[in-house]
Amino acid sequence: MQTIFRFLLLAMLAVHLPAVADDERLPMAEITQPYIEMRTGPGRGFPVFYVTERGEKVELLKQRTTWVKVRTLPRGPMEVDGDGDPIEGSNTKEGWVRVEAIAQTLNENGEPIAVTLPQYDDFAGRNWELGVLLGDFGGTDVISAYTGYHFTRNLSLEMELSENFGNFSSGQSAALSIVHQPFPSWRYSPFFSLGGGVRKTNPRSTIVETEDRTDDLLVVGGGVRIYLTDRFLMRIQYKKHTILTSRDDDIKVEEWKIGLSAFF
Amino acid sequence: MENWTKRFLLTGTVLCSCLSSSVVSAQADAVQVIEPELDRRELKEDSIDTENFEIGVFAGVISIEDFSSSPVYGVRAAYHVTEDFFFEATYGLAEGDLTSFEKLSGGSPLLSDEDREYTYYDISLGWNFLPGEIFIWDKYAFNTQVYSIVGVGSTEFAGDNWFTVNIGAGVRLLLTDAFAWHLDFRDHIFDRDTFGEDQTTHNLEFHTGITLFF
Repeated sequence: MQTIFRFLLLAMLAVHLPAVADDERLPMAEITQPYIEMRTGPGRGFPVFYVTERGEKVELLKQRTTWVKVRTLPRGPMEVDGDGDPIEGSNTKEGWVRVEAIAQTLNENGEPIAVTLPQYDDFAGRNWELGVLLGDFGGTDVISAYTGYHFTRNLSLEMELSENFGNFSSGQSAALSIVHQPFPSWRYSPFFSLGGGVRKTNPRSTIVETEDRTDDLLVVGGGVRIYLTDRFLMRIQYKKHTILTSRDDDIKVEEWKIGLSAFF
Repeated sequence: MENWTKRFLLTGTVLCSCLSSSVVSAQADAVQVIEPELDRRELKEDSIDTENFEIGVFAGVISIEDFSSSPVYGVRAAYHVTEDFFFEATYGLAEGDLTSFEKLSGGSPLLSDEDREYTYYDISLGWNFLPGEIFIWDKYAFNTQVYSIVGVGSTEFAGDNWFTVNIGAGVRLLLTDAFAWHLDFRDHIFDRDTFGEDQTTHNLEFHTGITLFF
């Protein structure tokens, strides 16, 4: 209970810290389109409450997915409250605009602003990827979560954590692989992977308490990455696992998986 | 050899004449040439702070089929991919109670205390299908998103790990840009054979929590 309260307290304190230091200048943009709609929240379902015109300058505060929070520069006098004190922020408007609209604005030097726009072109130049896969591991259900880092256009390093559930045993494994994509800019991009890791197998038994065993693992496989839309990828892969057991024979298991991932 | 010397002398002369001319022109045009004070800042992509990750804690109640209801606590992390979809990973802890059979018969317990601990994790995809605003009293309006969530994961209970599918819905109330309050309802479905035969169990969970966007 105590740890929960402490965490809550920390979380609330974090909210009161300013997002940007006061002396740091925020990026500014000048609107070049006839108008840009500002919404109350980062989504198309939120209402439009203000419209900025061409020529108006806005500060870019933060970005969430494909929406950027902007604030117009102070315009006109500030409102005063009952005591005659000026109300902070009453002569500026803060709202969310689409990132594509910001991409067409100009910065202070009259150059188009560079913002993060997840597009098909970005797909080939992505750095990080994370996803979830579901499939069949030698006849049993398996789920995996993976994260990958692309250090060149063709090569990436992936860490995959899996858990499989079977009638006779279940297990968890962690594997690190090198993945090579010969044609990273294709929409349907094939890949090959090679790696190794560890696997813990828990044999199931309702009567006798059996021991779990941990073995080394070698993985080789391939698949195809399909770019869907925005930041989403679909991934279909086949992997051959060789579990290096302490017995005479190594166990070979075939695995098929399909999954959804996002790149950023 | 000849070409080289020619080139060298020629470039040398050109440079000298340029320097002298610029000096002369600067002195001559000192009044007319206005040097604007440009604060040249490169707006890089990462100067706009992106807040797509979410992390938080939750507490609630879970009804473990056959094993009574118990409080559940956990942590959650999410990554918002687009305004409509997000990935979420959740980890929760609960503890099952006695079954009705154990209470009525008063015999030896079917599971040990250690086996009665219910631990689950799941990775889900959420869909914000109803964004909107909630109005409280006269002054306050909060952005909300009603979302549905479906995912897969694993539950450790009764001495075994079970493949679990979870499906549910919830409401995310954005108290400030960075701070959100969740109300979530989920059904964890997994096949269990603790009592001999395979049984599809539905473990309903209701929890509330707070999260931070960063």
